[in-house]
Amino acid sequence: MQQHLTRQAGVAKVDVELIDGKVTVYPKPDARLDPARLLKETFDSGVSVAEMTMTAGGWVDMGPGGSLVFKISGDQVFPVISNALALELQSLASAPAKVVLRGVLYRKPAGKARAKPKEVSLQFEVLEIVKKE
Amino acid sequence: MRRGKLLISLVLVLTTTARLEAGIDRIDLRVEGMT
Repeated sequence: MQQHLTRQAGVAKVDVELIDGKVTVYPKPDARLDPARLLKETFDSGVSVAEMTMTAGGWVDMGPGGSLVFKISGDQVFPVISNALALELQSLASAPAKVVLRGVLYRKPAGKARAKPKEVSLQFEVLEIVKKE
Repeated sequence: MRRGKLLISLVLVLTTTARLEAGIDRIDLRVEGMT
């Protein structure tokens, strides 16, 4: 799996902790890493993903439906799940302030042995506001 | 001495700026069934 993920576009390094089942993927500098593709590739390598957490820099903004979104680039936009930290970020949506956030992008649905990657929709649940301007 | 302090300040500023750049820093996966 480590070799499989390292071959993916934009991936610089993959660290694997076999005992804990933890895999950390580091992107290449200035490369675009696609979390949805990474999730699919991990499933394709024969393992099931219980949770995917992302640490990224970007902007919080209001989406089309008036809900909060986390923008990493023009085409990498994730809806933000409402929680206390999301409410704290809401004030930043009116002004373009950069933030670094850590949050859950994917969690295996309860009761399912293995979710199909096609059914996965990535939403960002903020766990930590690492930095804000 | 002053030059050293200036250099440290510059490094701190550059580090902060880099961290606030847009982009994914890392992705952590918790996986099951890994052998």
